[in-house]
Amino acid sequence: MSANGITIALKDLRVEFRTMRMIVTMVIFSLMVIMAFRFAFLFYSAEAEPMIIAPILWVTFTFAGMFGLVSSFSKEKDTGSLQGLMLCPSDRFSIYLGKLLSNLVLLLIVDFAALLFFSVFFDFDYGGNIVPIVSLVILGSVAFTIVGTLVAGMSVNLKGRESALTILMLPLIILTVLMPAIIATSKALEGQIEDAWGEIRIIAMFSLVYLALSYLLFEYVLEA
Amino acid sequence: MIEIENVVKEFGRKGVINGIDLRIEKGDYLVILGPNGAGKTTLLKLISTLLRPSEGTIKIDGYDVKEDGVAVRRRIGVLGHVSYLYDELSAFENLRFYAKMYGVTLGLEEIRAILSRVKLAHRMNDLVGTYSRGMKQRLAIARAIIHKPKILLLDEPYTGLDLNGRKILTEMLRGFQKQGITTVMVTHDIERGYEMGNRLAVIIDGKIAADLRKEDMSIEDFKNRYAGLMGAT
Amino acid sequence: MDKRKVLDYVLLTGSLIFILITIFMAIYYVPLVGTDVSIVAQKPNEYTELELRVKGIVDDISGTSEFDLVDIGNSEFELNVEHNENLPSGLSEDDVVIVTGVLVDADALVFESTGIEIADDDTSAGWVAPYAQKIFYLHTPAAWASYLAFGIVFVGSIIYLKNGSNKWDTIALSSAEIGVMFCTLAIVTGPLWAKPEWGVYWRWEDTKLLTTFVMWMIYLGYITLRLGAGGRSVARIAAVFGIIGFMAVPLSFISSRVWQSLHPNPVGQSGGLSSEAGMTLMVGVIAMSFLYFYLLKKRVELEETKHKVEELKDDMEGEIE
Repeated sequence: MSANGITIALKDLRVEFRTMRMIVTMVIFSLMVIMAFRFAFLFYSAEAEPMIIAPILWVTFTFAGMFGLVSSFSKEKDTGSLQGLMLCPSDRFSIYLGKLLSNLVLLLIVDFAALLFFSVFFDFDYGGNIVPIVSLVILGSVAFTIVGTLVAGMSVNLKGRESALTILMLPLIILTVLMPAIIATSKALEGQIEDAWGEIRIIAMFSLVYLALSYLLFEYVLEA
Repeated sequence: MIEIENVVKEFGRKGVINGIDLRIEKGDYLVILGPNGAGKTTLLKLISTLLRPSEGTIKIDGYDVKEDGVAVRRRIGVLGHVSYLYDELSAFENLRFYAKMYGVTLGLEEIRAILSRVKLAHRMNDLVGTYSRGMKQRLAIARAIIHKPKILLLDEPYTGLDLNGRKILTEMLRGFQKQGITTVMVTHDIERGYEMGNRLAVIIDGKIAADLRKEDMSIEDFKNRYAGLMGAT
Repeated sequence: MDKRKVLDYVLLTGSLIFILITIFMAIYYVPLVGTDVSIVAQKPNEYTELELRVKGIVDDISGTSEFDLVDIGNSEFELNVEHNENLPSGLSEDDVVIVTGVLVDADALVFESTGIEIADDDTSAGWVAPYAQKIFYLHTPAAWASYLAFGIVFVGSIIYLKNGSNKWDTIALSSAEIGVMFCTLAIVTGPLWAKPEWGVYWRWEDTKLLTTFVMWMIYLGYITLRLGAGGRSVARIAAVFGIIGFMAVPLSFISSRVWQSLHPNPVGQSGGLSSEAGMTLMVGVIAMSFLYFYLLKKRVELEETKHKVEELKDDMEGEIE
């Protein structure tokens, strides 16, 4: 099951890095979002108002991530190769795992690019907090992708995929990923990552819940 | 062997398959004919676990499509409307990927051998995106048989093939028939279907309208009777 | 009269009657401010300094309040605070504020302390805005009905996925719509109470409010999903969403218990409600449940009629062809 998941993920990434279609779009998209925030907070400085940092970062990750999620299934759905995957003799959950892994790799690349863009445009130095921040970004992205891959698989079967993904996904992640991640990142920025234990636990717990639900339900999500 | 019992498939509230019973013996070459929208492709998708029946059961060698999807999928090779191939990968990469997914380890030479059966060995390392429609269809055939399935499910396999491609495919299908591989072929081409199959079924409005052995009826009689119903030539 | 109609009348009249009873009870039966603010006065001995423990939503006794002092034995007195506009709110019911003062005259039970007097009025007060508090008998039953409705969505979705029963898909869809209606009612009545009680319509930092709002958003998403109608997989996808979205329901339900929340926490807490209030609430819950089932039944019938009409239309088109 997981072996096939890895095979699918490697195939996805090979296709992606050969065409660079999504990754370039997502990185440019995250750049645009950070720039939009830069202009929105024109008269603010990240050093002086540290409470704006975590929300800006996570909103950027979220929108860039959702941008990537939409196409993770839709292209294969449209060319029909998704059926090819579904015909392979493995649990449908392995398709989910494969997509989860490839989405996660793409999202993390975009996340790190966004962290860099933020640091450049807001003239901000993460300093000694970079390790806890990066860890939180990884944790939050894993949780985001766990939910996102499930919802992306659902929305690919619907009309108006993009809007469906947004409408279904945002309420699911607001409390379980986005808010705790923003609070935890804010704490990490103050150098108090050890205070964020509660938030980290919430993210981890809900990730497991969603992973279990995906395991149980993904079979029903995909149908040609 | 494929046993289909009282199968119903609804999309939303609309019945597409409205109660089909069919028993396809090992080694049969069943050709399913019918007008557009009659449910031919849907039936094939139900057998190949791409869709779940709303009611009824489908068993392949005793494995239920709902319960033992993995075992079913291991036994079937499917050639669908679309090629299931990745344009961004080469023919070799496509086959290696699917072989891995089927749990078959194929070396370079084995893949080359498979590709030469569909006369594509010379283009092995070219991206599939650069292939013509017919070449893609030939590669799709290679993909469908990569794991040596016991049962072949073919959905309009001749579409897009040029004369040469049709000849290759016909030869291959005849070969499989000799090996005792069960084949189900969906088509709206009565002549081709009559030529290839040993059993013919007509589906109209999601129901079996006719199910007969080839030797029971000549092609003229068959056409006279069913061509009008199918709205085909 | 056929059987289905009988059930209709039972549900409809039942809900109407229980709603009326709830309204009457909320107005006439429940004492104006019957919640659990009580002050326990410990009296080491008469004529000495007295320590008062104020249990309730009071966090700063600087205003003038009137108490009802009841001897509950053990040299302890229970004081019920009458409603007073000057009493600030904001503490949860479990907060204990110690107030000390001098008991001046034990026989007359007159107690003097900074700004605190004892009166012989027997009403007690728990709320800054006791009249607004009446909305509670609409608010909580509506919230309860929305939990019930979303629970039915969950159950219906599971059954639909398991055996593809269109009936349960219709039930899930209808229940979601009605649930959103009740949830909207709860979300609207909440602020109507919160404004006079808390001074603000909404507190974003409150977990109960937040989780409930997110729950509302999730089921709005569910409805939006189904409004798009088209596409043969909508029902199946909606069923999956009905299952994963249900997670928000227990989250909203337990949030005021598990996390710190200003939201009052009446259900399932001992001594949280006076018996009158509890009884009225129960009647309200029964009323809303009746109303829920009535609406659900009607909505399901409507949906089924719609499908029948569509089928007939299809048949007719077939015949014309």
